[in-house]
Amino acid sequence: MKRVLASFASRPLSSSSPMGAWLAAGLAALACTVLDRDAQASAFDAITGTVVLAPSAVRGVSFEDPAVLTKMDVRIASWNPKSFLALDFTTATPEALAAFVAKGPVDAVEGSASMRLGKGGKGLVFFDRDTFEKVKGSRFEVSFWGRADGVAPPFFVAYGRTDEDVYTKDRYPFAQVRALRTGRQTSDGWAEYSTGALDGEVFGVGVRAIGFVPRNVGEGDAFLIDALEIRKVDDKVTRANVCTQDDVETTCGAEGDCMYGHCVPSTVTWGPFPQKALRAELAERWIHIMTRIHGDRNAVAIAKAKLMPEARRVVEAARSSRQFVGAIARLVNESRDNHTSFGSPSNFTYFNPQLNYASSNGLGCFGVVDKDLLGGGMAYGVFNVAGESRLKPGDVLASIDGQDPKKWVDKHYPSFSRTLPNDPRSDWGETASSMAEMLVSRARTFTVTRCTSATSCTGVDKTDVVVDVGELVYQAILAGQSGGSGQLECTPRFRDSVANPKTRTSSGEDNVNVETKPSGEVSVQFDGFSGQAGWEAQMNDVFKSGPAKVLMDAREGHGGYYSAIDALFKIMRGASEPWGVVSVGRGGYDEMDPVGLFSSGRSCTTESGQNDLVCVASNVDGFFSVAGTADPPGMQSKVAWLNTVDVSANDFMPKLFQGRSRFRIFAPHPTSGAFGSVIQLPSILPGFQGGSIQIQDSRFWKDYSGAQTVRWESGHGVEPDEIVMQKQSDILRGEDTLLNTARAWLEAP
Amino acid sequence: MTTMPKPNFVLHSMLALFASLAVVACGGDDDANSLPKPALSTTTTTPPPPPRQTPARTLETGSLLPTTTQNLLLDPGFFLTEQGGQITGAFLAVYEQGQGQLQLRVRIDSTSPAGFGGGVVLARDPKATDTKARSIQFLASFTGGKGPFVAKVWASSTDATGAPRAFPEDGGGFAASILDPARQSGAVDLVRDAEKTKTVGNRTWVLYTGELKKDLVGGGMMIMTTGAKGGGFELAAAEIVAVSAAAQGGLSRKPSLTVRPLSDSERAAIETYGKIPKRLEPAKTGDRSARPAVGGAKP
Repeated sequence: MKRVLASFASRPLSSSSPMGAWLAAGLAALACTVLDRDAQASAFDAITGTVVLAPSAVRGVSFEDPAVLTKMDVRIASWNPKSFLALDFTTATPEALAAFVAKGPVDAVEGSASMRLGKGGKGLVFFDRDTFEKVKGSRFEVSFWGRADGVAPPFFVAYGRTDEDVYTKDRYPFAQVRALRTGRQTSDGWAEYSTGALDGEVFGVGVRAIGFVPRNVGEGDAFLIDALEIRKVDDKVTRANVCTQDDVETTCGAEGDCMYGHCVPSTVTWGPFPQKALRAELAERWIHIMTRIHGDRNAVAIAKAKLMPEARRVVEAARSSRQFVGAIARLVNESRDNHTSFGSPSNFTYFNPQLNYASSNGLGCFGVVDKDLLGGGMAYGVFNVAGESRLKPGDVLASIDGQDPKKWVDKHYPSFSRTLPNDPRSDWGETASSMAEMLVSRARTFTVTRCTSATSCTGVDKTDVVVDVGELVYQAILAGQSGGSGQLECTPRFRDSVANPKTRTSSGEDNVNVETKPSGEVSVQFDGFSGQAGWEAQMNDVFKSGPAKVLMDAREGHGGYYSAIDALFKIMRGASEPWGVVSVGRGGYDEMDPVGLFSSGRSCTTESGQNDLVCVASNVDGFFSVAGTADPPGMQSKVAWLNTVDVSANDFMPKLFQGRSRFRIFAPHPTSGAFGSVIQLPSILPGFQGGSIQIQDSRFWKDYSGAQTVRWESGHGVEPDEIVMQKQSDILRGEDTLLNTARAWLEAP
Repeated sequence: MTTMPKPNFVLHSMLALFASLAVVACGGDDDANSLPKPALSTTTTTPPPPPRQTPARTLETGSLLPTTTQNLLLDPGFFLTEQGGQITGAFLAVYEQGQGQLQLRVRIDSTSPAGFGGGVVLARDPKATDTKARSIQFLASFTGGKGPFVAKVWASSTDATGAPRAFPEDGGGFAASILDPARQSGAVDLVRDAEKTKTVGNRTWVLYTGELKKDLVGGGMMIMTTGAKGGGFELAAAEIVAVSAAAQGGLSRKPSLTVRPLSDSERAAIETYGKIPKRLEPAKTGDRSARPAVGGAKP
């Protein structure tokens, strides 16, 4: 590797000139090494104030003559407004291309012309087969200069087997990479973008197109592109070696990732590797947000101890997007707040690095089980399957890549999840829901133990089934198979507590499914508190007559509105057994709980005071039982409450009822422990959707004064009153253990 | 705007070398996957061209974000404002007199003070004339703590059609303030920093800034109001920084501001802000990406 110096040298220097020799000597004296390819990149000439294309580029485009673009099989494209992600293409005639040309020293950073795109949502896609063939066995880089005149230049490199893979209807690219700004920009709004080094092919599939097509373009908005270059970098491609998550560093290398049991370049998973200055900026912003703005006291303490030093370390040490972006996303997760997320890449390909949807993926839906037929203990078991699955209900996960499944999950799930429960004891439920996707995308092999009898599991009744999942999926990918038949949406319920439940109402609120059983039990199945007037009316109807026995099946609990928990609290708990909550933002960026934190908030927990200015600015909310008021009819009901994957409003609600007479929580483990409201963050890293954080923490007690003396609850999930897990044997019998246990308690005197 | 000198070639080359030395960072970035650095031009024997006139365009170092990483506002680029329904750190935008639904537009203008890292919000009443408009308020809360706090926001003026125009000497009705909504509530108004004006084409960006020398227990709020004098404004790169935390340079040049009582419209805006529903939901899932399924025959 040659040693060269990175600079914004004004113009070419001659090594034969005295100055050039002096410069060369100076460079040699520096023990700093950068890549040869840096010397091949386009240069900025400070004298002319223009960019000079590198002569060594495989393809350099100055946009002086748009007719030249036809050699690159360029097509005009716009996103179809009626389709989720489909491009409409039209032929790029010379006349149509000429209409995009912008000329003049201001509108060109290289030569005298650029392309102004975006008007009417129109952009360009280059199906430059000749160039992509030249880089197929090697690594290459795409760079260009862009200016935002209303919209930032959008860009993609799309891998595909055919042109149809490039966002024609219902077809996504095999893999995709975006470009990032490098940090070089001009005083008049031009910036250099680059992909960094990309592999010319992924799993044998090469690049099909590069494109600049904007979304959501306002009237008059546009962007300019100029000095487009495609350069060969080197031959250090990531080979599709067999790998596991434990050996990714050694098997795939610093720049590789491991998906589907094989190495892939991490550019197609976590995106381009940001420049060091941008890495530092991203890390410092997250450190600031997590340690000076975040409201979860426990998460902030973890972030100060771990995220802050580690994020700064990876800025220096990382050599790839997996090692940097993936590491920062994991550090955010490891701060343990279920409202908090680094954000997700906009990646619709096979290579989205994060787990994003609880589905069976051709395997099945897993849940938390007591493996009672195998000696007992907590495990991941198959609840149900669809289609031609290799698994059967009742199968218990015995190992993943040769390791105890929970140990493997603890080690690797934080790298791929979008967020983590606050209370680690709550990980079981969430990871079970994601298990099929996790196995398919990130495991090499796994083993399940199958019992054919519901009464014993020895001898011929017991078999181990090894699934070489990585190879199976890899071969399916190579064969061009997509999706799969018999996909199921996975939930933590082995059986529903009501017939034919609906998750949403027609107005989009969480549906409250109600069914009165012959025993007189009123069964209520609902997935959360995302509802206002309609939702509250449904809950009012359940309790208005004070039914004797109510089963509240909240095993899938994705939270909702603060107002909804306030409403149900008033429906189900009266002042005869007072209780309440106060949620408080942090007292300051420098000190979370300064003296006086609670002094102004008392009125914020009363109906009359909730709009006080101080409540708004300090993020104080809450409510307490109002002494002297009559108990609601629902206070008389005996209520069995079922939890499993429960977070946020589904933390608050059982916490507000626990301890009430005639109330009992049944669950395999505590809830998540996320006690505060959530806010979205804007996108910080281009190509990623914005994340989110929690801005409050909460305390529970009988009254506001008492609440000031108890602990913050975030990080402490709501403990079940009775720990119940779905038994493996009950799966084989088709029985729901949690429902049976809860109903037995309801029926007991 | 900084400009390069007009050196002869040798002097220019020396400057280039010193500039090169200044930007080199040893270690940490010498990996194959890193995006390219500012590059050395390829070696050539072509004789140097004669010195030319200093170009208007110079090379600068860009950043990821529109403002400092220490900004206590979470959405200085106004991206969430365009979506609406946010709290804490994101700006809520309403008509000051509550006159109907407000549709906002946010553009990315890389020549603006926000650069590529943030948006420019177009604060313009669609029914405005050049002399009359419905006033628009932008309000965001931020985490308090030990002061002082320095606030900044860039503003440019447009006519009723949205075309840029000279920034009015009297501010054209635009005002920006920091609010302390505590029990002893008060507000301070930011002032125009005449030294920091930027002109890009026929658009003039004016910096409003000021320093609040007090501690804020709980939080504070930043409010910007476009006024009713007509036309519209474009706003960019809003920032609140606690200077004791960020050790900002040039602090002494920030004007200290006089505290005044909150106005009725400011109180009303805060109440509106407080009515945004609080959400108790976990972090959202990302896009639903393709996943191949395990198929094939049973074992």
